[in-house]
Amino acid sequence: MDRPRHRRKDPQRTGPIRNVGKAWREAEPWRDFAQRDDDAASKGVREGYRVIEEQIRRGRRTAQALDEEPWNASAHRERRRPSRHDEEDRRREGRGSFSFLAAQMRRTERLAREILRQIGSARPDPWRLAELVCRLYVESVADLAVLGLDAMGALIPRRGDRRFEDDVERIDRDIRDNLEEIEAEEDFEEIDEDLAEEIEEDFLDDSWDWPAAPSVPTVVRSTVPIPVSVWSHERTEIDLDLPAGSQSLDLDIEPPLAAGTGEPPHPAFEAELVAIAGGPTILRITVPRDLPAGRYLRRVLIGATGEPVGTLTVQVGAVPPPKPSPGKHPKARKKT
Amino acid sequence: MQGEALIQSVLEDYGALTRQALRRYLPTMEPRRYLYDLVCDYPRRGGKMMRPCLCIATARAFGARAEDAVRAAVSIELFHNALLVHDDIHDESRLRRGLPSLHALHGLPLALNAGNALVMLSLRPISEYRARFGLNVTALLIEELERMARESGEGQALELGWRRDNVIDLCEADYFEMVLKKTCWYTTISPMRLGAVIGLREMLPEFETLIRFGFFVGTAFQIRDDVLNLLGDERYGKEIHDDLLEGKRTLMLIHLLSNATAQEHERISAFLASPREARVGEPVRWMVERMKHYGSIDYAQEIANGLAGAAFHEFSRLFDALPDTRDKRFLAELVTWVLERTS
Repeated sequence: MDRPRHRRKDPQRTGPIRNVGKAWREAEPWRDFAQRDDDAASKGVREGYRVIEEQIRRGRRTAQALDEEPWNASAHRERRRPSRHDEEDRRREGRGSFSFLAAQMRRTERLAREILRQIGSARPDPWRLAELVCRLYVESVADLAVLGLDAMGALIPRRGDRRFEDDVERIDRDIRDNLEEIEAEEDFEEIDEDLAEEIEEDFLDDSWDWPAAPSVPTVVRSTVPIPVSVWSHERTEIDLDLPAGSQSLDLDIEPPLAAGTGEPPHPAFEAELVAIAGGPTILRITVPRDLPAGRYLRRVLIGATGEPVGTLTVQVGAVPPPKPSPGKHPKARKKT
Repeated sequence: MQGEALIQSVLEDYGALTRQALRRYLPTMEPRRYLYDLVCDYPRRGGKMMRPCLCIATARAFGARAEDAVRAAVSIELFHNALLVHDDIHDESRLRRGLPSLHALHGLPLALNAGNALVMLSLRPISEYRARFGLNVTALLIEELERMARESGEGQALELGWRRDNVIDLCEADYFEMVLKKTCWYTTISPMRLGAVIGLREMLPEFETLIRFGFFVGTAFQIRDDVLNLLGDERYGKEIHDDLLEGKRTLMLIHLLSNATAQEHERISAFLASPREARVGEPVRWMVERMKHYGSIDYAQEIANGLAGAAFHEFSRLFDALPDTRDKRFLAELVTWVLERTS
């Protein structure tokens, strides 16, 4: 009990900066170009980078939105085509049509186990049992139908495909003939197969050291939910160190809704982004002790445009009465 | 081999390859008189084939064989020809590659329909990749082609809208955005990105660098084109001052507008608002003289030089990792070539 209370050191910083975007903007080369007495070439390059980065960001958002469309869920899964090596691995492992069969069998097995559990239980639920048996029947019929149609599709030749393949082969022959003439020229360089392989390996190898991105910010890549759960009865401060490079994120957290005249203020948690000079950015969330249980939302915005890019959610659970046993704290739940 | 000689050699080789393959995709069936003869007209008139060459060179730089990239090159060229048909209608141009434009020959409705048919035809070669690369890679290629078409349409709409509404309060960023969409996507960015996907059978996030490189080199190309349109000699091959006659918003015009006196500003605005037929003779000469007076042409050329520098920077970020090949040298030399070209 006499142990000195452990205290965390104060972070090294020049002072809290509520709007991290300000710190980032100071380092931006193109923001203040209007004030600079630049030559036309430099001005053009700055403005050019500003335009192209904005366009790339918009393109990324559009692509992301398309990926998130429900009708595109399967396309999204396949969007990143596996490399040739992955395909070969899969072939070696015998995945493919058989993996579909295996998945069906696992599902059927799960249903059968559930049915047996119901039958063997002390008080079986007849409605639940009937539902499970029906599901087993429907799934079996559907699976058989799918397998049957697949088999028929594989056996029946498609008329259009044959013609398509003939066309492709004929054009391929033409291209090869034309290419032979060009390749016969003195200055033509043949593609070396080994070299091609080497290039592919270099570029598809994740560990390859890609050159650093330009100094112009590319802002938010994508919204990634980061759930953090904290159980504490004491007042707790949560600091999340955002990854390196996050100083360049021009983000703000929207202030809580203002109450109308004469009304009590809306309950809210406090949130701020603190930029540490030369270090990471910290997302600091403070939940007041008297904040009623509930789910609180604050939007995360791009500082410069006010465009929403994510949501900060804090869920406060009801605080049960403290247990009498020493050393154990009753739970207050905060979820970010 | 390097410099102009290298550029010309690659343009000849890959241009010939694309031209030969392109013929296979030009329909010879009926209705020829009202559709397919028109569809085949512009592609048969030739051209530099810069876009197909960029696609093939990039694919080879990333390790593909030339024959793997030819179909994408043909798709790009067909799409380019579709845009030329539509462009000539928008700009009321009477000539294309030294011959009467399609709508001048056949009237607007048939020419417009032929342009639309060319867009649809451009999908055919690229869809054939499914026989060679499978559906996933083909989907990536078609997605890129779709983006190229969408961006080009948006850019064209911006320029046409500015001309229709006589918008003159424009800045460099507006011009860059319009050129990025209208010119760069289908001239440099997508041809190279299609080539890179053909090389690696994958759309890597790192190919965003090709958007930057394509933007800088494509915009430098467009600015040089705009400058040549004002100062070009007999080697230029197109009608001099055409851009002023069409009221195109060029960097020189934007610079002139931002430096002109109030009186001059009013005169320029009136010039741009007047019908094309009225924009001839003395008013055009006065516009060119004012641009020279305010250094607008030098200013645009300086910006093009700066953008070329940025293009070199972006080029080295992606291509430094690749082995030194004729195709890689071609792509690097292209930056200098767009600034030095006279036609």
